[in-house]
Amino acid sequence: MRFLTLPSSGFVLVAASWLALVSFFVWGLREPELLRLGRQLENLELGGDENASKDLVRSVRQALRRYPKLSISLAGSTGARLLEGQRDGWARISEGHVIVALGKQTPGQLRIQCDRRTTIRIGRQSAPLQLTPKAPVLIAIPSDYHDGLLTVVSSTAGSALRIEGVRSTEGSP
Amino acid sequence: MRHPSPPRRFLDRLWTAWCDTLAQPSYGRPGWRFRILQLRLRHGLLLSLPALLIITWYTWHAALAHHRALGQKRAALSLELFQLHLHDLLSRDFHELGTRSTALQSGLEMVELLMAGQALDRLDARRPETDLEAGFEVGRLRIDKQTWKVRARYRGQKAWHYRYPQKSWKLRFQHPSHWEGHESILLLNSPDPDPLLELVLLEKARQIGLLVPPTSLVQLRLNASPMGVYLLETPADESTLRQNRRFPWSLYSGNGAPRDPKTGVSLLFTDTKYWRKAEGPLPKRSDYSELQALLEQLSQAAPADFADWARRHLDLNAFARLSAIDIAFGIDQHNYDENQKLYFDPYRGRFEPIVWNLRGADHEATYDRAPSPLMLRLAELPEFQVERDALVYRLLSSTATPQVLRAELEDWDAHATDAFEQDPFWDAAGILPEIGVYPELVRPMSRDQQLRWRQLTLHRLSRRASQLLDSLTTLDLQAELTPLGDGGARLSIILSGRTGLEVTSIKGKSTDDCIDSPIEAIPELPSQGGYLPMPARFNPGDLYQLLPGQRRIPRPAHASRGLVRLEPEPRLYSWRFAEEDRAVSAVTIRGRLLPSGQPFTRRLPLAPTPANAASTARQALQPCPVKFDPNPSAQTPHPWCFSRAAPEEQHFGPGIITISSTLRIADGAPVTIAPGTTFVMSRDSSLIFTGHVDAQGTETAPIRFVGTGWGSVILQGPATTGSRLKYVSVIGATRSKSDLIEYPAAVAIHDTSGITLSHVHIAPDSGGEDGLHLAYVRGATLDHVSVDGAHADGVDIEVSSVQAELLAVTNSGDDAIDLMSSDVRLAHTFVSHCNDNAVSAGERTSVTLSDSWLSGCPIGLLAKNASTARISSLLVTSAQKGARIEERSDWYTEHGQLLGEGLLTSGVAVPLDLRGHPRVEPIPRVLNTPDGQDDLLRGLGRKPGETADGFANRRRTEIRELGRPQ
Repeated sequence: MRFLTLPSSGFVLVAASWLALVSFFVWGLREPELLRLGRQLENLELGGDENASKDLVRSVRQALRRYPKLSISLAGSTGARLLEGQRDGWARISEGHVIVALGKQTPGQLRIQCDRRTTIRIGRQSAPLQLTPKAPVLIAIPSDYHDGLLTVVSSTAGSALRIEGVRSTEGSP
Repeated sequence: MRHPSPPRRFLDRLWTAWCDTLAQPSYGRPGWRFRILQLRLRHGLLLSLPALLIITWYTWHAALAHHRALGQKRAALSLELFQLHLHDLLSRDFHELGTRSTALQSGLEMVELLMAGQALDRLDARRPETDLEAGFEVGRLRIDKQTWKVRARYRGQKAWHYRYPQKSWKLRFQHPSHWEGHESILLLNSPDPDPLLELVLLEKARQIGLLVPPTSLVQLRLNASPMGVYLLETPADESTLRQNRRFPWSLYSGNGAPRDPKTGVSLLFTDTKYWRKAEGPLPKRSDYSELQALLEQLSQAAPADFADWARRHLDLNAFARLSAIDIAFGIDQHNYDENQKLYFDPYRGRFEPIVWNLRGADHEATYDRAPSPLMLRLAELPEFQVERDALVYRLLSSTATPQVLRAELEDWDAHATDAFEQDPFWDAAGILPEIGVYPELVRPMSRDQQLRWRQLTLHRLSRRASQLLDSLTTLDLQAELTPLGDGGARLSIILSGRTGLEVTSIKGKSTDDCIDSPIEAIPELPSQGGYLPMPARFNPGDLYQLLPGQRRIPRPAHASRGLVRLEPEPRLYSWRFAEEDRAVSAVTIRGRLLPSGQPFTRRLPLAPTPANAASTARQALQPCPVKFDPNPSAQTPHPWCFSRAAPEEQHFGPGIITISSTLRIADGAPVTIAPGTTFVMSRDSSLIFTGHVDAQGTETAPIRFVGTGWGSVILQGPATTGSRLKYVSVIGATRSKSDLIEYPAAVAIHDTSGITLSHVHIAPDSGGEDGLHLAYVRGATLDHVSVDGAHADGVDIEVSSVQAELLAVTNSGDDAIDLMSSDVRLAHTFVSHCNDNAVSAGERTSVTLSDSWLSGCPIGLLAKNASTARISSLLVTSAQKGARIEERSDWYTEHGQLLGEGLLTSGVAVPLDLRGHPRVEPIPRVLNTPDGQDDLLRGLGRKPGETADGFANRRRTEIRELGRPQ
């Protein structure tokens, strides 16, 4: 009868440390979440009219939650950026996602335009709003959406939207 | 008995081996596998140490990368950010493993910097962002087999300049003291993922005539260690001005200022104390008055006043070109806080931008991504808008399309790719969107990333180009012709979007009569509660430039982008038809689109009721503002608010006119001065003409400007083009300064062309400076002009092209004729007595001297600073040196030259003084006496039988007599 013995602590230590090193390298070489997000956004941009996937929208939302100031660089100087791919500034979508950069306490309006008569909603709960072609409208941004993603839902299939920016209404009557 | 299957046998064997490994042997030495499994702890520790050390090494460096990227900030290192830094470190190391063995060779020039180890330690110990001017260390720099002794320090306040191994440098040359004319150079670590795009855009800026300091791409080796690819830039300095034919004067630099505690926006444009005067004449180094005037205008001047000031003191065309580059390529670097470099020209009296930093090309759905307060105000001026938009259109439709940029980038790739791939510290900022944790996160780069970034940037620029071209070629115009109560009619045009309209004709037609001539249209300016007729110069048939309006839109406050951006807004233009007994029934508008030039025609019948009444009424309530409204949501003024009344012609003389204080004939008004007019000038008063001057006296009735110790006679600006001064004498003038412009002579002619001076005599006051000063004058003709007794230079010609015949300059306190960066032809010139050079040609001047006599000056002809003198029958007498030619200068790389035949000298100690090895062809002859030069002296006016000396004395006396009071 032979006795089976367990590996010594020395062996366990060696195995664990080298395994840890390999895992460390594998983990370290995996594409970081922020880089993945950046790459996905670039792909969307280079792809033209492609819709933002649910996975991407979720990633953006989570990233904005972790890094609220990310919205400033993503939104650019106009303060708002439509996530979906655009042609000449127009996105032909029924549901779009707008990154908005406004301070949490800053009241603001979104300037939006459409190419045909349609009804849009900002978020799921807000009241629908009529838009006429080539007449930009200013829509008040709900404060709980600041520094985050706004969902814009258009009722007319095939209509194109253009986000022109946000304007701060702080101090305005 | 069944035999087990092969897989089963294999598993059995594996199990047995495993059991053998774990089982303690009953006898003998245990097997090696058992021994490994039963490794002692201390041996285990020893064997695991490398793995633990590697993990610790990378963990430490990832944490260090986090803290380095944070700079002064403090923020916890999250697991996500730790993985990001670890990823960067591992990627770089694995990448290096594959590429390190390549030998350093590429198509880029190699620059070698040698610094002592202790000097590097001292530099590392200092923080460049807090110690900008001090802290240079001595080193040696080698470029193209030549070595310079330099003083070096780290340079740049942004993190990528000094927090990483690849640091940016500022090097000041000590011996030799210049490199290609520059006293210092910058070796910059570009933070751009694709720095080649900046080089391409800088070249575009250069091609459209902007002032751009030279920039190139090099490889740096520090103490034999490769440091990678650098941008070699020369700072905007005196040499930049000289090489671009600008007179060296004030150069202001604004980059980084504290934030306004209320708004968070940079205070750079609010006070001169946030600016640095990088260049300027020594006594004026601390004089910021020009900049002060600019900043005051920006923050206080009413729109019309600002327009007037800007037209005089800003090179609107150059600013429009810079703005066009920023707009076309979405550059956001010339903003409220950064990269402002302004040159002030003392003789044009105008600021001009120097292009610095064209990084960050990108697309956002806005016309100008980050305008400075200066550009925001300039964008209100119609002529600025027209010029800027025309260039944006031209760049994006032909000379700098994304396809052109791609092709030029690929040209650069041909000799820069290897250098980038061999760069051990290749990194870039801005690859990751700012997440608010790091001020500027620098991440490692690779060729794949560079190409991917380029693809993305060009894609964005392509979208931008398409969007901008669309907005600049789509006319959004509403027009209607509506009846007025009094029988007349009003034409209203509302322009929206960005495309303007240049109207060539508006013709009203009546069906009630048989007259063919169109009905007159009177432009009106919408005003509070009604319309006001425009100034008389707005007549039918004139060219009207109709531009859409703009409104300032508040935007989230940003330190460098300010509080507002400009958006287009509909703008109303209105004409009234009110000709008695003729009712308008229709109108035809003709013109062309701005900036594309497409033809436009529209015929409008009379509409019984206004269709756009509501918008017309709203637009009508916009009077011209009388003061500047800094409110972020203010509307910009109507373009017609900036219109100027046509200047009225002015006449002077004949007779005596007393000028008791400086008289400026403003707005380019043309002036005619009658023969026989004498201006009696009071002390310190000057006459400044800004329009065409016709001052043609006669031999018997000359025009005279007389007095003692008064200022100057001045012709300033392009509107003086073609002015003629004939039989004019200017006696007792000195110098002056007015409206920020320097006038260093009795007669100063600046920034114009086609000027003729004939039979003009200038005898400055002894307390003055130069006699005649020409700066930025194209095509001046001097005929029988004499200058006597100037305190400094007799004739001072700068950045001009001049032809002179029978010019006589006598008794000058400094040079008789001083030339800088000019193209000058002097024939039959007579110079007698001066204290320095008879003719001094400097700063790449080309001078041709024929049949001329230079006498009584220490040096006859001096050619320095890469100047070329061409001579034909030049006689130099009574001088220490006939001609002195300098091979090299600090400022220029070209050699001085003396070409042509016939340098004749008499009574000259050193006929030809050559410094270095300038080109001299052929070697001149030396004569004992000028008397043999009959033809030459006859051409200058020698009488038969008169000796050379006798002739010179008579000529001097005659010139002196011209200056006596009559």
